[in-house]
Amino acid sequence: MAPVREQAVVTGLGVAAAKIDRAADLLAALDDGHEPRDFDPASRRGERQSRYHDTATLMALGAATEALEEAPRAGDDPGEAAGVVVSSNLGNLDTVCRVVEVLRRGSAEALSPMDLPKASSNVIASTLAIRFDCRGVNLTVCNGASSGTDALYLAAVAVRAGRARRVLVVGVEAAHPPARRLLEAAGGGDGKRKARLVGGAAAVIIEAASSASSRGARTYAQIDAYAHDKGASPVAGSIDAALRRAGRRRPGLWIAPEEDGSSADIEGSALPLDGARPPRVLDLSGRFGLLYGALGVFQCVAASLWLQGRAAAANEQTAVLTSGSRREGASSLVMRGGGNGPAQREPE
Amino acid sequence: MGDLVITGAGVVTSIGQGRVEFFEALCRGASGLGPLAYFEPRLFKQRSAYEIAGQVEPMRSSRLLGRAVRQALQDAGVEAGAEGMVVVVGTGLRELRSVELWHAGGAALRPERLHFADAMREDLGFAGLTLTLSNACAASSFALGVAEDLLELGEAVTESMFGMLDRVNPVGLSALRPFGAAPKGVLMGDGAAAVVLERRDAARARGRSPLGVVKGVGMNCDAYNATAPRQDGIEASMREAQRRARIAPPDVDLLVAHGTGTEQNDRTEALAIREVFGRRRVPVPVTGLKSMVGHTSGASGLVGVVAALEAMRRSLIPATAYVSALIDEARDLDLVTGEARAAEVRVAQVNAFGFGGLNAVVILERPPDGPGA
Repeated sequence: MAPVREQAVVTGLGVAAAKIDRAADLLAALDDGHEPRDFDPASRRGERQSRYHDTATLMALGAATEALEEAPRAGDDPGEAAGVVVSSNLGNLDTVCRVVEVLRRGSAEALSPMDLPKASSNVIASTLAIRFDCRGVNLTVCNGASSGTDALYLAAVAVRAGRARRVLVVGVEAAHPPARRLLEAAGGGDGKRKARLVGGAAAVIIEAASSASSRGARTYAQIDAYAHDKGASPVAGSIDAALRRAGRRRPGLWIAPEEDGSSADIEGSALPLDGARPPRVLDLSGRFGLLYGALGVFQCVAASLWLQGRAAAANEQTAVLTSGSRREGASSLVMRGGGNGPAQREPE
Repeated sequence: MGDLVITGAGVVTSIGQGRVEFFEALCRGASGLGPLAYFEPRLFKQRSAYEIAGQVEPMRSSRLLGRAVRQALQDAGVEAGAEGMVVVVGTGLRELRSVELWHAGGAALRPERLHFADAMREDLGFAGLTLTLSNACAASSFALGVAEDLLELGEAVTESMFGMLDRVNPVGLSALRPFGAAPKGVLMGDGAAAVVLERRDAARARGRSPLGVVKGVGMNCDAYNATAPRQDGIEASMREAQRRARIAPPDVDLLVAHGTGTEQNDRTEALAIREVFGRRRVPVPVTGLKSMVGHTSGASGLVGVVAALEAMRRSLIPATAYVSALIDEARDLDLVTGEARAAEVRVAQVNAFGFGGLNAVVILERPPDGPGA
């Protein structure tokens, strides 16, 4: 007797990045032709807390605040059912490296008590849980280039397994010197990687469809199948496997990974996306620089906006997000329309 | 949810490796405590830790993980390339020790070595999905909970397993005394543990007898404080695990405590245990393994799981070392001290709590065909 599984749907979006004031502007920003620009989260949200939190946590708070303003928890929705999943690979490396410097100079006494929790990589997820009273499952995914996509998958798993009614998913990377040094020095495996890390955070609310409909929430899209591939052509392999699992063949949108800064032609014609009606291809790294562990969640925001804009034929529309690299393997996630109506974002 | 079984386990600690040798060392009361070897003692307040000798840096954590995972796969009779296998790694500190060595001394480091997919591929030839979860000191139990969900949803087709590891981060004192009276404090330990989790029917089809049944994993977050634990959050995680396992507090025959030896943890955990188990006629036997192996951070939950599996199989509970007098809050706990205690253990509970108020509680059951299978 298989229990009925919940659908996982996207009900809220948030972005904290340079020159983007709200998540709804993300698609337009992709077209504006600006180069990647450094982002200082204290310039926007959460500046009052900036003395207590590291940069990545501040960015995460900014993006999460916007997503939760759009999808506030109902009064009778218990905090126990609210989870948090954060994706960040480099988030707290600044604290770790600073602690090393302090220790080398003097002794452990010179460290601040605030350094201890910040040196633990789950500091972002626990700070979000404390701020927004999310007392359910709480995961920090540090899984490399595919981390953001993997985090979305784990959030959907938590919803489908009945572990959570809603999950705040945040992808964030901060462009502090250790992060830049580590990531940019590594290049794309062959020194071709040109893009810079500028930092930013994206947030989405992934919610059980029944929870969204009971509070009359607008849904952007559904989270459908996921696949990971570490083979010779991981990008193509993961797209192919995810589409097969979703029972879809022709996505209208593909959001590319950021390997080598020239992502659109990764693996060339091997991509299972060509044919009579090739999808629109988006590359976020050209506009935002390297997003690394945050990429998948930025992609989810972009795909949600794109799918929602096509609400009339929503159920026919499919988007595929891919992150990862040839070296590390790639993850692809299929999202589909199925938003609950053509509601437009209301002006603020 | 009782249809997920553990068919293999591996463990590497300062007192021994492999589930059998490790458990026998625990029951002997062995201790891995020694002078700091991997860190410059002059930089730290403490001089002792529970380290594993003879390791190579950097990438110490990745190597420990590889050893534990290899043991678990061999124990379960599973190939690293098994169809549908997912590796879920729970870690407190990832390869942050290697980041320190990179930053301070220029050791080479590639960003993808911060997590463990590369290690799984290079060490074991595993080319499937590896998920690295950085969930503080409760990480490996969270990994077990995620593996439980993946298997129940059929996302991992046959086997899922996960490992965990950590490194020394010295802060402590002369010994770690779970629930013991002063001096209080924590000492870190090296450790990695891994188990192979799969559906019972898959194990049966392979002709494997389970080491134990995973009845349920409760996971939550206090949402209260960055470092301090909170009693009601810990109670909620224990109740959630027991609810998912469909058991009640009187069913539990052994509680492997988180027991870090710190003032805050021990007091809060003892009060939470009293609250959840208070109505029992006979108190639940409690043991704290960290006195023997140190606080293995993200590994500690799974180290406790491996010990509990063996305790169920041998009807023997290892004693908590270095503890004579108890803190006030633990006075009515049945803390096993002195010698290992013979006791039938049908159901075991393993607590793991971490920074940020992360709590994960695992309920295990002895396989129905009894011990020694």
